[in-house]
Amino acid sequence: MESEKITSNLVTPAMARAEVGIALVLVTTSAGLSIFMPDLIASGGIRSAQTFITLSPVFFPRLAFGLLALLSIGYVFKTSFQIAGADDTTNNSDRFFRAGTMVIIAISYAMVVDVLGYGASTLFMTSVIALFLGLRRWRSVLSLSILVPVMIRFIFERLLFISLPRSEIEWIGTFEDMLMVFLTGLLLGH
Amino acid sequence: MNRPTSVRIIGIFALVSLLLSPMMTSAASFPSRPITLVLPVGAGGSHDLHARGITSIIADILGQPMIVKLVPGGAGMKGTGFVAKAKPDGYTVLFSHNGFDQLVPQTRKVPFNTMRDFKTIAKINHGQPMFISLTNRPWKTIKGFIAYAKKNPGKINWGHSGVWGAGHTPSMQLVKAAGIKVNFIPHKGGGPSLRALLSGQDDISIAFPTQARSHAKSGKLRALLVTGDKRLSKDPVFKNVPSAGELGFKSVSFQMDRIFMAPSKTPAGHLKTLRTAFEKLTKHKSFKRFMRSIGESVVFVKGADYDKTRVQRYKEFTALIKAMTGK
Amino acid sequence: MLDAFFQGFTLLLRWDTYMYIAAGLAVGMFVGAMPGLTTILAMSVLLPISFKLEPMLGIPFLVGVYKGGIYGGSISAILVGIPGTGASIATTFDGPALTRKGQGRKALEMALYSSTIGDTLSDIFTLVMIGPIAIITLMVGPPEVFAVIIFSLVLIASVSSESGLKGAIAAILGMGLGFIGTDAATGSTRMTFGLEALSAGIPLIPLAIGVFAIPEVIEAVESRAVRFISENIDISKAGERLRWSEFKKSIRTILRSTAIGTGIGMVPGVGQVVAAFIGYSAAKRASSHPETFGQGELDGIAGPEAANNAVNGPTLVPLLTLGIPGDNVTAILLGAFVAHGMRPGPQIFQEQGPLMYALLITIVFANFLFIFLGYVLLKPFARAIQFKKAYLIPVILALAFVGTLSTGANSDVIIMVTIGICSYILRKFKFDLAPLIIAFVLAEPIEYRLSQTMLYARGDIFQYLFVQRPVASVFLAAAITWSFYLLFGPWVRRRLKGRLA
Repeated sequence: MESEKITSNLVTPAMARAEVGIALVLVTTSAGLSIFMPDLIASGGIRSAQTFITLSPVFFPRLAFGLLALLSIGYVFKTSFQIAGADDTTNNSDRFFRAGTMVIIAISYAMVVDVLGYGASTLFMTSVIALFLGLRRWRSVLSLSILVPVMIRFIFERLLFISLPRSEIEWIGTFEDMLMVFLTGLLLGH
Repeated sequence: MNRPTSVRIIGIFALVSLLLSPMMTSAASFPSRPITLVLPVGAGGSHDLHARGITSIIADILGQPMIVKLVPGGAGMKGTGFVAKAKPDGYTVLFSHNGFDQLVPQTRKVPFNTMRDFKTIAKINHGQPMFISLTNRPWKTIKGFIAYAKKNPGKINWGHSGVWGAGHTPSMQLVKAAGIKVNFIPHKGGGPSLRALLSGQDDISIAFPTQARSHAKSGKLRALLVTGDKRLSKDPVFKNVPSAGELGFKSVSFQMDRIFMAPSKTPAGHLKTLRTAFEKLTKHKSFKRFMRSIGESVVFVKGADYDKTRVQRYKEFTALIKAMTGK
Repeated sequence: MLDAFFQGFTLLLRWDTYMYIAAGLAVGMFVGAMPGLTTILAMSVLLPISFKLEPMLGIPFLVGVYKGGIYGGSISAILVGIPGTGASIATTFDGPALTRKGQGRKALEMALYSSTIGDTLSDIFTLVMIGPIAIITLMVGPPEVFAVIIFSLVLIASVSSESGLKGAIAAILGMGLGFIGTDAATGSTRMTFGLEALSAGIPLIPLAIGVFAIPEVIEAVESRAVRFISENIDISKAGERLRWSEFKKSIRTILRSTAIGTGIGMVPGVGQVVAAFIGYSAAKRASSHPETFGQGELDGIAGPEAANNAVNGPTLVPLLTLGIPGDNVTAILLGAFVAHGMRPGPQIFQEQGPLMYALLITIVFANFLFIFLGYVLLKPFARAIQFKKAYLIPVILALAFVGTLSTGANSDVIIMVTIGICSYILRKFKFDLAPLIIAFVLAEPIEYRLSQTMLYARGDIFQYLFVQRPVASVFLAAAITWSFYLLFGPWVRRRLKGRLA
């Protein structure tokens, strides 16, 4: 069910080592979760008036994560042995940095939505990504960056009645509201 | 491809309207933009249905649309928390019920205090849950049922719509008052619990009159008891069902109040506008028609008056929770 | 009863019903294609509009939105790997691969035909067999649901092709994620770390967007290629339509998936998402070339698409015959019925026979309308994917965020992005994330149904299962036997071969 093309099994040494790291992370988190499961459960439910045993809320998660810990240990071993055979020499740093940049953009977008509201943050995100992906003409970038949030906002808030986050910075919020009212008046006639 | 050019043109249009728009809007008075109505439940339930009807009518009264935002989960606490944290400017309002407001927050750790952080805008109606059973069971009245339950402790399958929900709470009240031991079966919502009853899996369950009506009419199930002091005397199908109060079960009193809440820090003027708007709503012809068509009553209580009763009920629930969880 | 049926037929001879169905289909398709916008949301938003229309217009309108929505979800699933609805998750296994090969339009058409055929057949079946189905759905209880889910899990596991270890890890991770939130049986909150954002658990759509959309977006950025479609594919062929010869090969899959979907529709609480997975797995299992699945195989579209639409027919039965909605969608339909003064339930076919039959027939007809409409509306979507990435990626990301924001609190976005980044990392290490989603979706029902079953069993589980619930026992026994076969089969065979040699 992989949606990528079948690539060769050769892995770069860096990736192989990183894989062991991932496996170790899995082991520690799953073991930790399994062991400390009871502490993670806040019981708000009723245990009395239940005459018969039902599954304790601890049971399944503990079992699942315990199993995961075991499997991850096996995974650590498997990946450790793979380090020796990793002899792909292609330099993937370009892909890595591009992906990393995208990750940073996505995270920033998520964190900024609360503060700047949907409209403004989408505007920034759009211009940053468009520029990053090579769109050079500043007119195209600007038009796209304004068009995307305005259209989405309008369609979703006024036509479909779905509320999107509003900015905490007052003047941005009021500004966007006025824009929406204007467009509503223009296109919907009220 | 002509697309870059057309994108540009539309983009310039958007830019221009951005710059022109401040000139087009009128002076701000509350409400000057749409109000968000938060529902702490999922789509499609009776709460959602009420909300859709209400928001379509109240837009005319308030002058601005009211947009439903569903924030389900955590037994209603996620949505409640969302409103508690929101800016208290009157533009975020909660459509809740007394279970979420006065009971559930006491059963788990929540970062808000409903009594302190919320004020009531209005109560628009309440639902009286009924205890129902299939007609093929060996009991015909609630007294018969209790006798049977006492002879067969732990054998009765008692279904409800969710832990600490509108069906579970009166069930616990009755179980405690009657002194019986039963097997509670939790379901996810009113629909599944009714279904479990109809298929014979559950011996007794809870439902609201609207849900049970057509099945009672067809003779498949019968209602044994109605919570509270008063019977459903206006109901053609259920007017002969005894009430808990008249049979001596005074503690089986849970009814579901549907209430609209606003953060308590909302400016007094805005709160007043909202309260007046909802009062007008309950007198509005289309609203009454809508409620009638979905089989619900209209029982209006002013926000300020309801606030006075909330604290008392909160304390009653504290006692109930303590009794049921032994905490 | 029959004359009510014929009377109902006469109510159909009006063109405005069909106009409203078409409008609903179009809106539904649009909404479904937007990642994260669920059809349920669209339906509940449009509910007030349907109030103001009369029943013969309002209800078919909503049904149109619903059907359009399922297909719309497939559009974005195929083109950009983002499932627009839960039901389209299984379509993301082969959809984007086909798009990258330039066969996006073929995939869209295959999805359209499979969906409508599955839906039509299941609707007709429901119409004819409404009585027996009603009886069967009532008889299905927690033990049966549990058994069916376990059986499906084994089936799905049996066709997973990737390395057993990684698949199992992904699956258990998914399960673990599924446990976060409130336990339905006791009401206690688990693994929420005191965060209110998690108190409801991780909602499916932000999870799906996080698991599928975010990695796709990041991966698309990795390469410096200007467009989504691989550069060595002839662009002129990218809009090629599905050929009859290609479609013919999947007819058996479509029929099989229809049967699966219809069966699943009768089991409460399983739903379209799981039906799609089962349809996909069954198709892969029956195929003569299972290794092509996942690399861009049209049969891998037909399988899930027919199944997830076939669920619709039987799901309506509890609603119509008992007035009990089976899921959120039917709950909204119930609201629509009720607001029009119609109370579905035991009496409705006697009280409002002709109208009910008319409505049921319109639901069948809606499918035919759908083929035409879908075909027409396909083309712009298929062409849209040919734009430069620089235009498309911001839009996709913006829509992904809208989807999450519209169905919950703002904090869901951070959850979505976090899950997205972790999924991306896992994908880079060649983890197949499909088991993760499947396990996530199934984790909660499994535990919930098992708890319920144990409550009903009152401690004596074997007696309860075998004496009172034979059907469930059969499924369970089959599932257990099969899983033993899967786990130990090859090993046993090798030992035997060794002995005989």
